[in-house]
Amino acid sequence: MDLIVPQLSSTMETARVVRWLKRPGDSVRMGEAVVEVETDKSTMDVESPADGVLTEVLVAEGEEVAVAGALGRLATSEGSAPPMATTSLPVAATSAAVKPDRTTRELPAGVAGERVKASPLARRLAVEAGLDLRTIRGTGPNSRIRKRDVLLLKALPDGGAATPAGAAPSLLARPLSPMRARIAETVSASRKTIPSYSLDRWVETSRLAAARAKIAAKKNDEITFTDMLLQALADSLSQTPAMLDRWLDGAAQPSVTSARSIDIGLIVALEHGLLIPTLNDLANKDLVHIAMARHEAIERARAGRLTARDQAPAPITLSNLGKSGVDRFEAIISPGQSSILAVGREHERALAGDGRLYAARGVNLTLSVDHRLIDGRLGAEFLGRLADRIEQGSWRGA
Amino acid sequence: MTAQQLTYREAIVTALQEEMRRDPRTLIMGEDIGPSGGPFKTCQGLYEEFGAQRVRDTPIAETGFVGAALGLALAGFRPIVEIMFADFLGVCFDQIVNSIAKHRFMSGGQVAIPLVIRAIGGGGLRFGPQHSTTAESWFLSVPGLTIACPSTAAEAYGMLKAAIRSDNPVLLLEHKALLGSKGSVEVGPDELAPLDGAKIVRRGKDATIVASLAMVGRALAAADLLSAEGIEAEVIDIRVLRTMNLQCVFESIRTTNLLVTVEEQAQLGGWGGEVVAEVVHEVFDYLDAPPERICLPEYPVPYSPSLEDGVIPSAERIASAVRSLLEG
Repeated sequence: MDLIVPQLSSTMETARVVRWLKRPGDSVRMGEAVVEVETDKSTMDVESPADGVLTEVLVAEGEEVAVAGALGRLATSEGSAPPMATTSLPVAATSAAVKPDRTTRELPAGVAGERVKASPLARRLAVEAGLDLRTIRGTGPNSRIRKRDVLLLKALPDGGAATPAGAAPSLLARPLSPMRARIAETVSASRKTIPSYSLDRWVETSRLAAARAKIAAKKNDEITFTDMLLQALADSLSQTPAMLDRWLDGAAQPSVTSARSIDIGLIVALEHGLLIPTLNDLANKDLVHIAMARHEAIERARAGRLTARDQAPAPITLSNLGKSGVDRFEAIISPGQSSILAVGREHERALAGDGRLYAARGVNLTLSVDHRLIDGRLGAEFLGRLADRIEQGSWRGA
Repeated sequence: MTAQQLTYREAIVTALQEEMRRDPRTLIMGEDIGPSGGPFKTCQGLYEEFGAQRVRDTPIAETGFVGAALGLALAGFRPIVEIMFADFLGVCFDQIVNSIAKHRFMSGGQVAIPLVIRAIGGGGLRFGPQHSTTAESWFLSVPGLTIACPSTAAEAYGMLKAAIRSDNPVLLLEHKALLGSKGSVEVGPDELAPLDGAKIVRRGKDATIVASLAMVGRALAAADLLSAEGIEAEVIDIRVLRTMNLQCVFESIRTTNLLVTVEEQAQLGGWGGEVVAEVVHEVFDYLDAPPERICLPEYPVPYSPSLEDGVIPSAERIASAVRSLLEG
């Protein structure tokens, strides 16, 4: 049985093997993590589909493989013997024409096959920085690579790629980190392919703030402004099912698909990039549930451990930069989604009403929408519902 | 309500007085705790105030009076027993692990066991091998017990009051070397310390030191030494060994990436191993070096002063472990 690369998101095309957690000959249980792969969104484990033994590693650490490609082979207890690649080769071909063994790579002399010793933290930092552990000199016990060794290399302009001992660090361009490269690809694709428009609306948050103060008084202080926005967004989506449509770039012709549950992406800013975990099935959920789902997704995103469920396709994403002080902004729609809501800072503003001026608190909401699927009137109707919900609605779980 | 400067010993006496005044079902038993006020004077004044009915001197027979305390708890009283030296917990081990800790489970939750066992342990005062154990690890694997380790006067006061009000058995391990240590204590009817969770007692970003009882003070002293060298150690008082709640340790490791545990007992079977296991499980990807455990050697606490001082982890030894984690 082959261990294959699952399709984890609509934009995922390939996966890169970060690390094999099992070696050939190791027995694996169904559901057990066998190999860690890096996709266009995060690093995650591929689990064994059955009980058995890992017989062969087909993709070496650091190499890429396409979605649905085989990573390795398993001998399962059902008795399906693994295909033996070597036995099928013509005898005459074994020396000259043998295809390169995919389990070995060009390694720096002297370290081939040796396990690189690195602290768990150093290993994680190296993956995040896109650095190959084998190129880093470890200064810990037994030449173990530690945090300081990774940081030292990371600080060099070219990530240390061209700095043999003693050479001056190059001041030339440095390669993008894997996460930066993915973000670059995604936002460029969005701008090139999604004809979007933006709708603005200022909404008053006085009632929301009062409800939130009440919640804080009850010590449920883990409930944030974002959680309340998520609840309002989920309710408004439930009332406007057309906003759940997503564009699909089919091989032959484009098509449209509609989500059955209310799933919302949430932008999580990281030190050197961002991730968009999906918060699944938010219909009719109370604030405590939403806060917990939000908190856990953020934790997983920060740890680089998003699950397949976190990467489920969502029709819309929420981006809240309110804390960063911006008045308003237009966010970029993730390819595969049809809209994104950008939230600015909460602030006071002078309003006129009933012939008088008064001060009110509120935020700017900016909804960017894929015009291929959703026209202006529908977008505006949705934004109006959302505004009403925020200004006048009541809060579940408050 | 009001902050008072109390010694650890006075904090214990004050907590006992207040809780015995508060609830007439509260009783205390132990060796020499009556007219003489306790071998460590931790029951001073109780006999005079509450009388022989509620402050009872017992024979040197821990199995008997600890068993009697269980009977009292089952009969609706809220007994407290003092074990003169924590080493003597060995005598009444069976009562604690097979009866006191299990009754609530075995009755299907029908009986409460509001029983407090105060045991005075720890080394450093020249009491020799049989009177110097902290006994921290002895009861670690006994479900049903709460094990609390006050490291300051304030903790001793708050934990003891909380233990007396708990409807489950609490083993309060006090440390005799701390009895004279003074600290600010918030004194008031409801100043209870939670019997749950470790606590950060000094902030730092470079390494995390987790300690218990008298080792908390040594860890703080180590942090002072390190600070003079520009190394900021975070010090965490583990406080409650059972049930162990290490949330703040996990948070700390996310910042410092390095862990040292310090306990005044042998390494194998100590709580340090559990802390390391939990840290590896919860924040593996944040560790930058194998955690270090500082413990007592594989022999009992010696009587000889110079030998005893040599085995109990010193501030310098803790500081040096932190240095080698940072430099190694």
